[in-house]
Amino acid sequence: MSRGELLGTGLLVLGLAALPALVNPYLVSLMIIVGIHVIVTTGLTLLLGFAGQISLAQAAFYALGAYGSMIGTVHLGLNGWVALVAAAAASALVAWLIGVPTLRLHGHYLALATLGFGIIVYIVLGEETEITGGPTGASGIPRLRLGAWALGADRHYYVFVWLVALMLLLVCRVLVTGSSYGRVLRALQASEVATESVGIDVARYKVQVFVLSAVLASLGGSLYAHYLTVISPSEFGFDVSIEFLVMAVIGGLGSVWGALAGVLAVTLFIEALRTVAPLLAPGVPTSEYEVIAFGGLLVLTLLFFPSGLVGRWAHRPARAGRAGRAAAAR
Amino acid sequence: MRIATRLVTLLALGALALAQAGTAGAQAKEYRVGVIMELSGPFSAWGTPMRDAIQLAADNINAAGGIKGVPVKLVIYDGRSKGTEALLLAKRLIEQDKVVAIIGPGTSPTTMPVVPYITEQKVAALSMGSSDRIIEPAAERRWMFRPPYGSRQNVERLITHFKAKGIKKIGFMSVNNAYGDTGREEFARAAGPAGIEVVAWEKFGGTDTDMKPQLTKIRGLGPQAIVVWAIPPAASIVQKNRAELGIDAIPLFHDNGASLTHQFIELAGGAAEGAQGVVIKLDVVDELPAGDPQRPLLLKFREQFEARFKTKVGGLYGEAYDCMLLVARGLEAGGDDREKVRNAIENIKGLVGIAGIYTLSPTDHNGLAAGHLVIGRVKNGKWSIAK
Amino acid sequence: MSELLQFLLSGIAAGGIYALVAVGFVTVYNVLGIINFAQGEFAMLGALVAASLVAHGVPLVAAAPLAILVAAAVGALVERGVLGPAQASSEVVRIIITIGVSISLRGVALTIWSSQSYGLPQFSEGAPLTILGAALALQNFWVLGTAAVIMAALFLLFDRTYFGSALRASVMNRDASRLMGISPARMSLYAYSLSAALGATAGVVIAPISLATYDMGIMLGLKGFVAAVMGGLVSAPGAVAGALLLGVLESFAAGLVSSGYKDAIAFALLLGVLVVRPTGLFSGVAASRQV
Repeated sequence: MSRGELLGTGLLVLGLAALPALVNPYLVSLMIIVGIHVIVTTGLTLLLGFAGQISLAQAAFYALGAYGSMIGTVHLGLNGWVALVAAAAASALVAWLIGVPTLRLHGHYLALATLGFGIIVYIVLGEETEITGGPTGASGIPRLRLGAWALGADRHYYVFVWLVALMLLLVCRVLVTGSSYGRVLRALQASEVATESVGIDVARYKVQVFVLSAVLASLGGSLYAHYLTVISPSEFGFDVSIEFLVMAVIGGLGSVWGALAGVLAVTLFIEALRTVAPLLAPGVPTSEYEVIAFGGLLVLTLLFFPSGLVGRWAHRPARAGRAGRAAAAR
Repeated sequence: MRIATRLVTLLALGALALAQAGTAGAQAKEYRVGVIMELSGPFSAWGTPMRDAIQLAADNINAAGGIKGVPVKLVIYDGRSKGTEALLLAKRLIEQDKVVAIIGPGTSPTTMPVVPYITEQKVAALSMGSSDRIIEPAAERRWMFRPPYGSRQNVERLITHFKAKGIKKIGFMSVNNAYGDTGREEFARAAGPAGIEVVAWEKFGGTDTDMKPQLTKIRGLGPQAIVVWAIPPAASIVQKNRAELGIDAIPLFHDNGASLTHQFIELAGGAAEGAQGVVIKLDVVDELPAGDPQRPLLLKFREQFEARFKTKVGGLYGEAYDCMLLVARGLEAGGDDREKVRNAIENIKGLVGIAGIYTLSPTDHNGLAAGHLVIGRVKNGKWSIAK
Repeated sequence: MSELLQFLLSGIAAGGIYALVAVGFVTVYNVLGIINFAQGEFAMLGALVAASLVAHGVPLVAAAPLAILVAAAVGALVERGVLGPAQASSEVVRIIITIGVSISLRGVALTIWSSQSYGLPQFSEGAPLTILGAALALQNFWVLGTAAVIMAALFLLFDRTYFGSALRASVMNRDASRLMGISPARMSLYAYSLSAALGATAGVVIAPISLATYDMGIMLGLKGFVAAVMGGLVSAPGAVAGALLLGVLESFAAGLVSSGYKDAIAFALLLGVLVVRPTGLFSGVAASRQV
């Protein structure tokens, strides 16, 4: 890690640590959700940045984690941590099963497959009322415990979530840049064709990144379930997958910190809208305009910062050509 | 480049910290009431009309001088049809905006995540959701209220009607979401003891365009009546499909959901004629006897609402309006004190509202009875009391 | 027996609806090479604009074409303002941009029309057609008829006109077509506007049956998309066939198995196709657009 990055990370940690003392409890709760979203979005950042693939099922793996933890603790009486790991393992398996046949092909088949998978998961969650609680949802999920200490209060959960998030981010960072594994991923990012021509099984690496993204989403989902203690399918629909995608893209792909930037930027934007809009137009219902603003934000960011806020993303289409070289020169 | 990343993040955190400074404490004295509604997303068809009705109620109160001279200020947020969002907004309202009570959220799945927090923070919340899980078990839900008619009253009213008409065999269709499921569960629970046999339990999606397969299936099983649990547009489409299939012999009854807005009749067009369903007195106010205690209030409400919002009135607006009436009673007795407000709401007796007459108690945080519901029939494009 | 027939007829009716949307996807994919996530929103725009015009007294015969024109104009604006400038970006970025466009269009619709539903009068008055106890509303014939006419028109356009050839040329080789005096940028614009118009046509024809709501485009877009994938994303007839198959399978599943899982059918089918025959159910030759 370069000096600059170390310094930056240090400042970040300081800022996060100081936050609860400076702001009101509402914002602490918001930051807990931000932390969870960062974990989930990082998976997409890696998948898009290094494998160049779109996943439209991040919310489904998020759901697998959340419902896995719910079923494990509420129905099966397992320890929260055990359920969390089991759910993550299940998500990894499912991701592997989806990834292997689709990532072998060139093109956006993973996007389509994850689209289908994501919606099927959503429908199953609503249908299997016996197991999932149906559309009204399931409640009574216990808090996670560290020994005798139940992670209930927002202050504690905030520290916990961010510790996990930063840890995962650092692990991913090391994985991507520090190792020979990371070298392959960066080569993949630069040119899939070239990497393949050196004899590397590109598909295998792409599957691994996809599995990683699913596991991260699942972990986020479990943390989410233990925080809200109540979950329902409406939190895990296709639109949520899109939201994660938007956060990843706005933040920037190909850099592990992109997810952090993206989630913060989008969350801040929505909060700002909520605070500012009623002031600009008092008495006028403004929530509808927030939807337009969100879509506009995505479009504008991609137009003017196609690599996102943090991006060093230089993914080119498989066909080189004027378009490809122009993108590379950016 | 990497330092820039960190700087961006830090700036973001700093900005968040500053954001909270934007909400200062109250300057002039006012009662702040929080409103969490689904104004976008799949449940927004309900949420927007409810917000409008609540706003109308608040404006009426302020026009009449407020609560003992103190105006009511609504702080309205869009829950975007998400439970997580609703919870965060509840936190924002209670901790940042310092509201005295909350109206909303508007549906069951968006309300449930808020329940533990509301209970812990001790702030009264009036949810518009349809599930009784919101207010039961009563001992654990001291702070939650659920004013609108629920599936229990609807089912009770329908079964009373069926018993009177000798209908013993019915087919049941419901929309495939929390609202439809609540109705389904309740009907399943009550049908057996009432001696009613349900020959089919069909479901359809809220945005489906063709329910003829389900209707055909039910028709084939020969029921004496069909019950449909949905809101428009789905409810209207079922009504249209019924006409298209020519199933005139089997009467079709909608739950209260169909009549909650005028959309049902508008969207079903000609097929709406003869439709039957559970309605509230507001829908048939012109046919109410002169002595009915609700009549004057209903007439005035209808006039006001249609003048302001340029759309025909419906039960949904009434139920939302009533939420504000209940909170106003609480504010009258309790002022700024959250606990006193809650106690006052819980002790309301005989409050004449739009949807019905409210009498609450520690074990009844809903306050309405099936007896206030009416079985209606559409005649000449309007609801009328069915014979 | 009449039950099964009803399932079949309802399925074909739904399939017709999906087909109209699917054809728009194919058009955009063939010319711009991206999956246009905003396709469903153009159907929504067509439906809502038409509904508003009719509500303000414009006769349906005029309202429908006007709505389609408005959608085409919006499509052109989107292409010029957003997709065109992003031309140099990768496919992934452009696909995500269309996602942003769809969110924005939904937001605009929510602001203008709010969340309620609007109706559109049937194109022709009359009782539904009943065959052996099963009913098919007249509007469904309009849907199927429109799908057939559009298919024929697109075939003529792409195969028999200079414009169509120009469109196809700009896809095959941008530089070569420039040398021939064809402007690929202009072709992109036409293709996207055309696709928006196709989507709006679908919306206008569907609205009398399914009503117009600001979020009707989501499921419509997704199912139309699944149908297009079943046709390999490159073939319009394949997409229509896929759509009909999808509609019928859905209907039978709802009727015979479980109405709750109806929507899952579409996506299970999608997964199945991707695993077994990713280039589409009906393509004889590998028709992948990737080189």
